[in-house]
Amino acid sequence: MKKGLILFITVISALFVFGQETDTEQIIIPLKIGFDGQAAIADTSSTLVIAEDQEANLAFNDGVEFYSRGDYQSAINSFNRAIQIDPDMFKAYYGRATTYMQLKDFDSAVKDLLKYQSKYPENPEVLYLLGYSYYYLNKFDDAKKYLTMAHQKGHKDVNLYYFLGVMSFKNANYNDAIEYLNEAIKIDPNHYFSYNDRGSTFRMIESYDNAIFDYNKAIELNPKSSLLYNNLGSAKRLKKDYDGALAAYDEALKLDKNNYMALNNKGIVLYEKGKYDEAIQTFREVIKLKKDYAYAYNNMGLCYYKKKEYDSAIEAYSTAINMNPDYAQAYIHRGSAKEMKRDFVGACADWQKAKELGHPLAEDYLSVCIEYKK
Amino acid sequence: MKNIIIALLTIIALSLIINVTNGQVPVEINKKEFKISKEGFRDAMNAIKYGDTYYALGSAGGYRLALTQYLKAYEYNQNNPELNYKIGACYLYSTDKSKALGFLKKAYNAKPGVASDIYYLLGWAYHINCEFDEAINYYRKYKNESVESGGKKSKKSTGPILDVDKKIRECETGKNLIANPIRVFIDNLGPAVNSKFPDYAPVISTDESVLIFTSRRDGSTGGEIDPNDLMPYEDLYISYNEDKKGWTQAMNMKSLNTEAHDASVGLSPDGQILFTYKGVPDGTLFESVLKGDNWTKPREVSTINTKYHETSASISFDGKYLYLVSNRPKDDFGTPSFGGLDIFVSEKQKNGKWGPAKNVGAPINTKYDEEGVFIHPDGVTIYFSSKREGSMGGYDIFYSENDGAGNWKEPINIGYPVNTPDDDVFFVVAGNARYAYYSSDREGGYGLQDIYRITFLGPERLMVMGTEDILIASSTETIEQKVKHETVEVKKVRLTVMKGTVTDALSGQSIEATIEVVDNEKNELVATFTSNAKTGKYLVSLPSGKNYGIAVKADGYLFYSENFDIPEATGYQEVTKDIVLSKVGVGSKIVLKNIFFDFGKATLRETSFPELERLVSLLNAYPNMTIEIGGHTDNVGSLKFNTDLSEARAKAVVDYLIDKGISKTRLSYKGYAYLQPIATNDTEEGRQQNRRVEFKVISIK
Repeated sequence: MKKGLILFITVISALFVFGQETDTEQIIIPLKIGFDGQAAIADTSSTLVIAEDQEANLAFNDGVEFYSRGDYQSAINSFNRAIQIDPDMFKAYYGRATTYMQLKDFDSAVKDLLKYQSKYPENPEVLYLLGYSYYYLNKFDDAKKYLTMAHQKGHKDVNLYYFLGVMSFKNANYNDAIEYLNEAIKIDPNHYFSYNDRGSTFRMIESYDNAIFDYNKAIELNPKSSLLYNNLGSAKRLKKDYDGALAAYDEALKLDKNNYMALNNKGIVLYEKGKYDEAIQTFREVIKLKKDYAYAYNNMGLCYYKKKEYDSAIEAYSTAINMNPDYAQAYIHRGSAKEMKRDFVGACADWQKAKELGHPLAEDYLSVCIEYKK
Repeated sequence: MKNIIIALLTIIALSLIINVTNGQVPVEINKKEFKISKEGFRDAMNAIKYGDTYYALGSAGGYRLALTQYLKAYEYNQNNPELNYKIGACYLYSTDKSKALGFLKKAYNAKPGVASDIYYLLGWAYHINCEFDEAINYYRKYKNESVESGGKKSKKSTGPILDVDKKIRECETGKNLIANPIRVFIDNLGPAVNSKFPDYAPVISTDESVLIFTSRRDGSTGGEIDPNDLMPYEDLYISYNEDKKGWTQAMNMKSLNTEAHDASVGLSPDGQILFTYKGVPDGTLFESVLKGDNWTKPREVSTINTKYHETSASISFDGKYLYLVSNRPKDDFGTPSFGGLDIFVSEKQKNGKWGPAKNVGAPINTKYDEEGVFIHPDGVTIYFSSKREGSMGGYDIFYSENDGAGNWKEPINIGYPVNTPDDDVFFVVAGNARYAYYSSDREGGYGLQDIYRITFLGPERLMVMGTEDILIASSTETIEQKVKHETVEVKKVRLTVMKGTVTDALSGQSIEATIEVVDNEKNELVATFTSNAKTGKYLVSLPSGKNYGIAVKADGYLFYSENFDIPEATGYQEVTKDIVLSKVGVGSKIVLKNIFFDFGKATLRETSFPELERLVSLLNAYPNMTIEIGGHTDNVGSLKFNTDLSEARAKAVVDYLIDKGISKTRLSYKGYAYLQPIATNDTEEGRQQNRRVEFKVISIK
């Protein structure tokens, strides 16, 4: 039996739909898996009867081979067989786990990774993969635990920092997020995911100039992403640079004419600029792209409100509410439009509904409603 | 000769008149220049001659009369700069100020040097029309010219330069206020109230069921026309809106009106005490009280009036304080006034007369005029008009709150579009503070000043665009833009208005009863009100933050007892409570709602003492009356426990009365437990009503 032949497989995920279609399935970060020092090739040139462990090794090797060719189902079958022959062949669990990961079956992956980890508890790679899998299972506590352990064991990977950054973001620990993403960018200065997400983090803490810088950097690295332009536009919009925002949204729409979020955002900028008619037209186009988009109806209502066309506003809000009966803000808006029509009873009923849905301002609005209760 | 000064306009124009007579610039219309054709020339020149005579009077009425003449001449020649100037000046110095601008522009364009104060008047006309930048421009020109002309200034200019600087600041204020308008509906009260003549100075009962106002419509008492402005004299009018379905046709308050000017000034929150103003002899306040359906003859508010002008008055919710406006040089404590008209306050004395007036001081009063005072029945908010810094022109309406320790906060401009560059004065607010009434001369009215109801809609409603972005590049999860819900501080009225009728239990007839409002914690009489003998109606204002005991008393009747515990944070509420009084007689009884025990015990709380004192007085008033005190409980707990408790509680009341000297032989007590419920025991509210102490007359000789 020959040892030391190292099979190194690098697989880069082909799932690169990033930014092209915004409402497709989840985007998986490119995954690099190395079978570093684990795989062995059985010596099949021997004329001797193949020993049982050889049998298992052969199955394992088949698995690796299928894996490298992207035939993940066959790879799983091979790894299954290897495990059947030798239930203690930990590298087969590892191999199967990575295959499951390619198939986005993270539940199964986690089981195999935990099995492998029971034998090699401190292996940084497997800790990282566990963290990775938990991340996609939305089990952020576990993800964070394993990624942190991998980090402590010296695993250096851009994605490790990236995931830690994203999870900090999701927990609204924006300062932590920025630090992790800084690390990610240090490791891979071309990691535009990290630039985008760091931009988004800056946006959340209202540091719009930094956000705009990062989004621009991400765009430089990946100029074909509609999503990045949309985020750039939103940062500019929040900075009240409405012309800059419009240009960015237009670019986002040029790259993906179906990016309804960018189109909706464009409508908002037109509203902010006081161009209510153009904004209404834009929201109508949004609805053509996504016919049940409650936001677009709500936004259209706000334009009509500004134009003092309260009936049209109420109609638009009502459509938004029909699409999303929990849309508390739309109830607030509809009530306010009814108020302007002196329909105080109707207004109070809407604000009451908003209150039931937990809108923080509804109570204040209801203070004038005493005389309209009946 | 009737009084020459128009009562209302005196107030408003007082300072103007002084300015005007000082500053009126002599402008002659040159006969030759004016003549454009033979036809009509004589009549036009005649009109100008009459107009000039009126113009020289320098009063608002004079300008109105001059205007009618000048407008006749204008039909003959529309391009004469001097005539255009004079017409513009007449508008500015009387009513319809906004019309001045067109004439002044025409005058200036035809002849830039038409009058030495043309820049000032143009500035003012732009100011009135809310064209603030132009206004500032002309005010500055006027100022620079005045400065340049140096020693000749007195000949050329009107008014001091200081005044122009103030006007420029008003324009700056105006720009700010208009950029941030308040949300209101301003609704004309309609033809039942308003006429084509000036209708103004509305006062209301706090529940908006009664409106009294001043009108100069046809049919004025005495039927004469004020020669000063050719309009009927002021009369008081009244209208009702009991069921909130609309105002009844306004009726002349014949018993109050005289042949001279009679103007409305203030009305108590319950609509039963009216303050009026007469210009003669020297700006005097009168008081009239509603008895049944008659208003008593207006009586001079003797201790309040001085030889100076008293022009406005407002009575506090408890009837204890009278706020008034006067231009007296110092108050009754010797404190010098701040300047012009100031606001003063007087406390009612034990003898029922108003005590010495005290200047309410800074920051309410300023060196400028304060006018049109209104004290809200919440007891803490004062509304008034002022020409102070922070006005956008002329009088603006301001409000301020008292911190409870007698200090007023810095007054706040109520905002545009209620306030305008012109005079905004005489503004009253309903109990709920959502509605207010004032008069205004605006488009869509029935002519000249009309009465309007303002609905305050509160701060701008929060508008939030729906938007989301995919902020995390590795996910399709959208993240909604979070909105910071900045709560705008909304002024909340903390007031309970209790109203209804007081009637006889048997006959159902209205009773004129005394309604005593007591602070149970402090054992202190807060206020006394009276129900109307004719209608039985009463209205009581109860600012939040007290445990109120309310006792309704009338001769020959057992008193009625009500309790209102109103926590500090309670917002505005209106409670209707029709009260039925029983004559003193065998078997009649009352529920004593202001007797409080510790929970589950028979220990009287101190807050019961005011009610117990009322019992003592009643028993003293009827020395032959024997009574039974009955204790009642809800149905929680055993009969035995409740019988013992209710009996012990009844006994505690009897013991108190014995302690106060009532003979034991006249008193008996009984515990009824929960056997005589007066409400359901299924709700907390019902159980609360069932837990009670009753007072029953057993015999009376």
